[in-house]
Amino acid sequence: MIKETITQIILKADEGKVLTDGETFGTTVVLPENANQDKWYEITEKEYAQVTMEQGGE
Amino acid sequence: MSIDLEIQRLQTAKENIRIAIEEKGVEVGNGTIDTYAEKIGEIEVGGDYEQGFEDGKNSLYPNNIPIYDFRTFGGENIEIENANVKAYTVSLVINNASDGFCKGNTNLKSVIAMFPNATFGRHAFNGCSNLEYVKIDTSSFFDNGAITAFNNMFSNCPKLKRIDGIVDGSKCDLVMDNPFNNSSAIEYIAFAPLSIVKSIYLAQQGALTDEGIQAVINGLADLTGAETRTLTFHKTVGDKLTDTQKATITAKNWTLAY
Repeated sequence: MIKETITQIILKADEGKVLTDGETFGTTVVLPENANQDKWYEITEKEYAQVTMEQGGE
Repeated sequence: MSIDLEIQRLQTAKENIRIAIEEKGVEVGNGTIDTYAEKIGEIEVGGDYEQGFEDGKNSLYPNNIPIYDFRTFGGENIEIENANVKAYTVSLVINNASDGFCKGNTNLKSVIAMFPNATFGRHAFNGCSNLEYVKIDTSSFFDNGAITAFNNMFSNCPKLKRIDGIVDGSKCDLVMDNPFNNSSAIEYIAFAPLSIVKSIYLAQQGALTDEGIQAVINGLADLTGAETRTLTFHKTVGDKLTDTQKATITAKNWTLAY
């Protein structure tokens, strides 16, 4: 029998907010146990819309 | 049959011929039946487009493709201009092609492409606004090619639903964050298992099927002991993930955002 324990850190944005680490966005972020959760912070949905409008890649 | 009926029949036939020719993209206008006969020679030979598309989509290997408007391109810096590719179902063999080799081609509806060598895929099909199906294939006759850059490879393809074959991200040396920008109809991408090694952005792909979602998860490389990367799903997709799928993602040391 194999037993595996997987620990996740789940961050959920408050109403009207979006989580970001400066590059990635989401209202829910699921992190592996050893990930740096401190780099995630909330922005408003308006700020998020502005950022995604500006993005498009080269 | 009376003469009047015969004349009417021939006039109807002439009109039907005019319509048939113009449906093939050749302007006929008014003229005699001889004029129409000349116009027939201007029709691009390609077989039945719809059948060719279906056959191309359903075929498994390049050698078995029923060929309708077949093109093979090889060599360096191949660029396919709209004017040169009137076909809608093409099979491409891309050797060291430059960026954007099919960029903006609004004719293409179905493409099967082989990448024998590591090549740029940047902007390869960007703006192919009628593209519905792509198959990225490798052949046993070639070294297993793997694309090194995916930037906007399948961006701005609003009708693109399925990318079959093998999408191997293992040689990707740039972030894989926008290969599918503004291509929100995508349902499935045939990622090679454990081949996605860079952060991947699928936040616009809310149409991913269950098969498509699992293909992404299976495609994630195991980053245990390495720097974590991020998988971004559309919120609708993220809400459908099972606990097992989320656990699989994080167990591979990926951050999931949706």
